[in-house]
Amino acid sequence: MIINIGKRFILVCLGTCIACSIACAQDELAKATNAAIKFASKSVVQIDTIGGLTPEGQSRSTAPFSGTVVSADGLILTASYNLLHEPASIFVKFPEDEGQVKRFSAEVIATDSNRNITLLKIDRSDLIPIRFADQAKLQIGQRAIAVGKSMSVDDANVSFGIVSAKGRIWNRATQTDAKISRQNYGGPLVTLTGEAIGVLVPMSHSSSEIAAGAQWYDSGIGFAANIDPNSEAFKRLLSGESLRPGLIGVTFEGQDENADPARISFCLPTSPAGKAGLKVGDTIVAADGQKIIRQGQLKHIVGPLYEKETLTVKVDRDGKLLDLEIELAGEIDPYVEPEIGVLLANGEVAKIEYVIPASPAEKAKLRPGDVIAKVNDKEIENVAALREVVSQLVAGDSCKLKLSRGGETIEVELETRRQTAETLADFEPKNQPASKTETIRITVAEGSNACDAFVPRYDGSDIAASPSVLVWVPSPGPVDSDRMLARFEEFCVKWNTIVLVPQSVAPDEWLPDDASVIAKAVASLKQQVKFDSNRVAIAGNGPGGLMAIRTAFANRKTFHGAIVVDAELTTRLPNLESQPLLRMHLLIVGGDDVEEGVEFFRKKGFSVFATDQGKGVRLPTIFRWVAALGRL
Amino acid sequence: MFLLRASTLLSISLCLASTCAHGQSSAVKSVLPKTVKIVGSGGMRGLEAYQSGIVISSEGHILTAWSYVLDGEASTVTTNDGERFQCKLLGYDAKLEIAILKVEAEGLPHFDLASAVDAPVGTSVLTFSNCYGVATGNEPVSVQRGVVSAKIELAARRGSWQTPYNDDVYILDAITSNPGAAGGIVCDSKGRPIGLIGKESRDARTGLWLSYAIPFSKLTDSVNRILDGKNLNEQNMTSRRTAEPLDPKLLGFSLVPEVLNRTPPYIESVQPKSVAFDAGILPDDLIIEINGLPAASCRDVAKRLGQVDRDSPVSITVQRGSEFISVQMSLVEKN
Repeated sequence: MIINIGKRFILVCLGTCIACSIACAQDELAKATNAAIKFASKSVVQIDTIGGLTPEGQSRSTAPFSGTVVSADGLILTASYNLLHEPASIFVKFPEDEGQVKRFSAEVIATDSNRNITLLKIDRSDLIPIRFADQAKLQIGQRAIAVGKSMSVDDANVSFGIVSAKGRIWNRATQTDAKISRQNYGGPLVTLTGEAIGVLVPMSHSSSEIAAGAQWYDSGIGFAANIDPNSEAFKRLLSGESLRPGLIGVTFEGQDENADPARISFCLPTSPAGKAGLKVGDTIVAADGQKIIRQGQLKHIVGPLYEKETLTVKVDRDGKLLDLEIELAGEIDPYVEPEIGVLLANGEVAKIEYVIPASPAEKAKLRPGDVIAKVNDKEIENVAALREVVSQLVAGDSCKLKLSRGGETIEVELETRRQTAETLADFEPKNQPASKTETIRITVAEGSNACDAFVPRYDGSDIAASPSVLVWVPSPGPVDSDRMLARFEEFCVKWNTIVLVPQSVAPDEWLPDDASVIAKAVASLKQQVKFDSNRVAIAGNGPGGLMAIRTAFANRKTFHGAIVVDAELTTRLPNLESQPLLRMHLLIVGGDDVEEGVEFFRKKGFSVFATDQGKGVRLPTIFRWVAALGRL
Repeated sequence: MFLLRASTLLSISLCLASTCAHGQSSAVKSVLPKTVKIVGSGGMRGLEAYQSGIVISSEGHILTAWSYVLDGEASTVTTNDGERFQCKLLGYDAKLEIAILKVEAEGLPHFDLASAVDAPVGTSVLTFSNCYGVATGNEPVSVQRGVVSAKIELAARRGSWQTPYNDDVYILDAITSNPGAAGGIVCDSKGRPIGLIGKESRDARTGLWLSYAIPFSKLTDSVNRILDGKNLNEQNMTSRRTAEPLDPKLLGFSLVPEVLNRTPPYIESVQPKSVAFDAGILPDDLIIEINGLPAASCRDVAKRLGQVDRDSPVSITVQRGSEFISVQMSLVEKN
């Protein structure tokens, strides 16, 4: 067979050199192309809508768009992007004699949020479904034709290109250089035989937002969401079940998915991986029969999968290989930090300084001065070890503690709880106040704005405790350093807290770029002064408060607390995922209409404290809260 | 079967590689000498004062786009061989947005517009234009390859103006919506003329840039009349609202209150014995189309009715549940 093809190949090569065959071949291609367009067009429809939203700041069009027929009895796929405006009515248009158009009202049957496609149904049973191409036989470089019907009800609009890549967007799409835009989103990308490679949708490798990738229209990069018509998932979709991406529910160690192995750093027992028996410290070394060396490889395997599908994995646990099956889920309960109800003393030893009233710890009769020696079966040598163990728990888990009190050993069992919304009114510092503060000027290379840090200093060297840090974001504009010092000095001294006051670059507003400058100022402070990285918070009032929460969420590794005073509580933030290793606590003071925002952050799993205290007690409350932050 | 298909494909694609090169390069050779580069003095700062054109007679008639580039006195035409001519404006058609220039020359290689061909969707094409004004002197204009993507009625805008031409155009699967490209030519792979490249425009509804060409069959009449010395169709940029327009109240219905930009045009109430009532319009009907044009919001309905005179009948299509109903209404008949 192979030899046969080879002969043909040579013959063909010879043939191309002969002028008389030229026209013939070109006609052949044109014929094949036209046949493909004609064949595929029968399964492409025009869809129109009435009414709908005009999204904020975006002009989204009301123009008709394309759909791909997938069953004779009226099931049609389109790009979810086309319906982002949530129209009041959707209808599919078919040409009739004499330029008339016949409309069929359509309803949304299901959505596939892994491939950003929507399934519509109309009441018509004489449609011609598209034929899907065999993905395995697809070759990079082969011809691809994008077919839409957004311009005309009768005839398709087409764009020619090639298959540029396979397995794009974490193995969910085929890439093409044909011009892909609103003119053909929802239509198919077809081969020269008129078979669909996939449904054209905007897509981006870095975001799963429905509109992500639409900015690349007509740029030479377009995507067709791959569909396997024989898959169980596709049958589920056709039966009206909305499909969501399949999630495993683990966090991996390291930051570089293209370098680091898939070693689990966090895994909730209630997550799909947890239910399948995976544990922290396991390394996934194979998935669905393919070897996994780096996290990215696993992402490629999981990318095309949906909830309820099964992923088989091989994990390395302390040198032993285990085969496990994970049933993927569509959503994972957010991580909620557990609270035992103690604040630890500063220092290396896990010694209790304060027991929170009415907390599990108080009920279990823990006392200040107790040293935590063991949690469950783990010996606790220092605070870091305790943090490590606690990070594996979620609110509601119970745990056994072994404490040493004086010379005695006490064992208790308690049930952790979610942190309550109360601040600790009677929590007072144990340490002696600092004797003075020193002002340090911090400059960041790319920022023209200098910051001042007020650092508590002690006479003598008997203070072992590292200070906490509060970044106070003032109103935009020049900062009067002396006034700031006068305002914060008593608190710096009392609570052993460094106060860092940044300045805005622009005279009248905080710009998005200022966030990274502020984070870098903290890093630069770290090089000059020792402080406790677990206890860095950022606060601000009004516009400063908005900037504070933005800066905190944009720099989750730097900040573990955000304090918003009398400001809008925005929820348009990056990194809105509660994670045990990147804690983020929020203190909301005053502000109008913040209830909805508070509820939003609670639902996401974050610990939120809200208070509407009057002006006089705000700074004491804020500093007390920062002092309690990160103490377990 | 698969083997057969695979090898057919193989032969097609291999042939394509060499035949395209061969066939197309001979087409390019025949087309380029008939293209010109036009530089004008019109326009404002920040707008490019250059565009493309084609020679349509041996004695120096140049067909190009009617644009601000030609506003000034001193437009020049540079032929493919680099010879530069002062030209005069012979005439223009403001609706088709074409103009004919005349240069003093003889024996120029030229297109015969009568030989223009119709190109079905999917036809491979070559476009010739001086996009971005990159070609100067005797440099040939830029050649791009593409495909006829669609043949539709143009609904485009330039800024907030609706383009005056709204007849058939070829939508191209090639990016020709570029400064300087207007007035260039689209040919098939044998070099036969298909259409004249239009000005930079955006699709009126999607806002996407449109690359289009007007078929020569739509231009020949106008070209001949200009050659006969007639200016055509002074452009009428005044509002298309008629003196006594229709509105929902006159027809006897009201729409739901407009709360959003795109409030769907649901009918809230119908006045008994009104035109709408007699036509069978019911509350909760959703208006879809007025006189064959889509009306996707309350605002669209006001706009569309505003373009209909009270003396004219109007046809309205509504959606009722999953049914679509078209009705005719006329104030004149009623009275």
